[in-house]
Amino acid sequence: MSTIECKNVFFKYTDEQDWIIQDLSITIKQGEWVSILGTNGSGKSTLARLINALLTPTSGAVTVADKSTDDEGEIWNIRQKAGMVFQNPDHQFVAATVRDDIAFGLENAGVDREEMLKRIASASERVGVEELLAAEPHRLSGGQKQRAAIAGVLALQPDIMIFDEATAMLDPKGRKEVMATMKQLHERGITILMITHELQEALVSDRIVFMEHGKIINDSKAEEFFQKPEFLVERDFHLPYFLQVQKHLVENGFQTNYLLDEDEWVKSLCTSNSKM
Amino acid sequence: MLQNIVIGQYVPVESPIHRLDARSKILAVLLMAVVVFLANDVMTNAILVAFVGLLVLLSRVPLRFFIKGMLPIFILIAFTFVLHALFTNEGNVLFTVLGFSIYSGGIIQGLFIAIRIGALVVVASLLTLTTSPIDLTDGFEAYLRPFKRFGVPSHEIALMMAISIRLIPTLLLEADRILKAQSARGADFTKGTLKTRLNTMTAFIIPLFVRSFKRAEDMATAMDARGYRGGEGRTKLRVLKWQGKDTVAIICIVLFGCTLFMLRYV
Amino acid sequence: MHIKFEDVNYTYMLGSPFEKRALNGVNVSISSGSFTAVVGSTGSGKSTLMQHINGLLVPTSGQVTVGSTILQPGVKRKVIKPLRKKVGMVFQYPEHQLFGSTVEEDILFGPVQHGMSVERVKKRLPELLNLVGLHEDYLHESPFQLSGGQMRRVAIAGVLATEPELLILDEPAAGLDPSGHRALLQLFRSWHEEHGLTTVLVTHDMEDAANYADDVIVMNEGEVKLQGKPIDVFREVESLTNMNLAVPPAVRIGMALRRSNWSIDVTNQSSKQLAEQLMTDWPEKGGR
Repeated sequence: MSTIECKNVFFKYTDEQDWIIQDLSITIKQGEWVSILGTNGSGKSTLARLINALLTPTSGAVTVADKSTDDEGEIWNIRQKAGMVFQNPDHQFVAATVRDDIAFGLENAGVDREEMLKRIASASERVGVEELLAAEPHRLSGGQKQRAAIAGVLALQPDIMIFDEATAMLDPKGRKEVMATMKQLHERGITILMITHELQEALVSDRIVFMEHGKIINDSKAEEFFQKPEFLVERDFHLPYFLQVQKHLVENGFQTNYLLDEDEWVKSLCTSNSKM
Repeated sequence: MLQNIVIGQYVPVESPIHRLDARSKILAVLLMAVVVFLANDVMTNAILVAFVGLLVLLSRVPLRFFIKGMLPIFILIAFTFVLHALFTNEGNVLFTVLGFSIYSGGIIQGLFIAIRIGALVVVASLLTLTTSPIDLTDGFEAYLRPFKRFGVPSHEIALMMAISIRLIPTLLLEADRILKAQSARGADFTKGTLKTRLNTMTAFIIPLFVRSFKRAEDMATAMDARGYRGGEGRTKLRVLKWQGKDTVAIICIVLFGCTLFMLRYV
Repeated sequence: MHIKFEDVNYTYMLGSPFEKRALNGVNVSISSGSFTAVVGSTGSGKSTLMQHINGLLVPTSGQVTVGSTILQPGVKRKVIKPLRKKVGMVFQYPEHQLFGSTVEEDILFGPVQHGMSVERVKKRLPELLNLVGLHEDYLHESPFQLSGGQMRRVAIAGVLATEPELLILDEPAAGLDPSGHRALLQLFRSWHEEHGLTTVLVTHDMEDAANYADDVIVMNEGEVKLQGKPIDVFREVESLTNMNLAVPPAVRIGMALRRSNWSIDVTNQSSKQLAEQLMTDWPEKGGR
């Protein structure tokens, strides 16, 4: 069990800079699916890097499974527990084939070869790249590359996976693939921390953390968060179409609350109509 | 625009040469570098050409593709041939062009040198054409490892090579994209004064560098996040396997060298 | 400018083991003054098609006519060069092509290369910069100091500065956040209307095609599969789905509702319009 705990975290790169993260506290429990939303420059990516020990707080503390990211001796354990998938699929693929790339993290961790082969097999199967193990990265689609990256993290048997806008550069098919993989990981009890600016993607998570100027200004269940879409509209976020329609209906008193699943909403309209 | 570059490309087909261990192939190329210089007359050169031709056939790399890719190098070799033909004054004068007397010795010497260089280039290209880049780096790393105690960072060199090779297609793709983007803005890389041409080149090179630095930075972060901390305590997925056929391949090269040697002195 | 493709084939790396056919007998025309979206999933050949319009790629066989220029296999540089002046092209991630030491220098690159009057273009730069949503003070700053979104705007200004008659946009908004995405497409749409351009937008986003284009071309596996008005194309739900393309939500939802007896227009209508229709047809209150 790995709980993520940030306590009064402040962060900036240089003294002259403004705070990128200021007085941020949050606890994320094992198995949660948290979306971190915010405008550009709100500090979302920095927060992700603080949790993975790529950055350490200027003041305050970040702990993962009770281990502080400040503790030099624990950094490698923390990175293994909290794996990270980045935005650009081409900038994180290190090796010449999918198999070697999945192996990269295992080799770093000093896993012996027999065990490595087993873990590569199971991780690649779980994300559906087992057919692509011998493929070279430039012959893969963006979605396949990102899934290979996920398999690489997964092979290290993490408790937490952080996705830093991992779908931003993908086509719709790639997005769908990666989202489906995330869902499956979540079902297996892995904590998912997803940085995104796509509301459509955030809809499926359990909890929404909204950041602005390095602070968390909203932290609630997704279900509750989307009941107040004005919050997003005010911040120039583009609501998914079916929520826009619902917004008009709610404002005119035809509907009392928002349904977050498009199919479910359409179905509810259909049944309400067939009653007649 | 940059799609026809063949040098350094790996062609993934099945062949006896593909199946050899990278180390034996590297060793074979090194041996061949010595062996080609044993050929010094018509007989030995003919045998050399036949042997290298056989290797090309064995590699099952499509011939048309191979020849097209090697063309620029063959042109370079033809050029050295012409130089030799022009400036060697041995044997009989065959004919005179533009005030240069062409001697039979020049033609023969030029031809022999062209064959040797050609054979070497072909053999070296076969190495990259039949060996996946990652096997190749593993092979080099294996040869470098003994030098580690003299402070040669064999693991780092190998990793550097592997990442560079892995990035070549990405880089080519990016170069192609930038080239096209600037061409679409009217850049013409073939025309104009030196100054305008330099200016046009910066429009190509600077973005390429900027992107490469950005990529390097991102990649370093990604490697950090995946627990990379140098070669210490690292295990390896890939193991090189030296098999019987590798020994046979090396013996073949050595025997071939001996044959040339005998023919030369006996 | 009118664009016409006739039996165009294009093969990448012809004659190598990596040979790949990207366009397969394409016949299509794009009428002058239209805003046309070319949609298709990755690898459908849509970007390859676009690169034929300004001669970045030349057909392996067949013929492309752009305005009065004819592009055939073996076409000469001197034919292509003047064409490029008339055709502006915004690539995916255009900020990757920036190189100038100042924003001004970078934007002027195109006009200079095309031999336009630099003085005249310079005068218009502040206005152009404002148009793409940047303050004119940025003109003398290094483009590399700017944020990703701002860099993209500079790169786009660099293309618009050449005053193209035909604008090709290859996923211009890729990777932007949703509000940046909309702002950018809005910009292109109004530029299109104000300057009477022909605009071709390459995208895999059906909502964009629905919201901004007059005409839609659907590509799949190197072939043109559908062409027509957006709403007619979007009704082909089944074939679009088979090509891995998402139908815009308005059409998707409209069709589902219609199936269960709501009287809804299946068009690409705004959320407000759909909501209004739902409200008039609402079972408890009005309607039936």
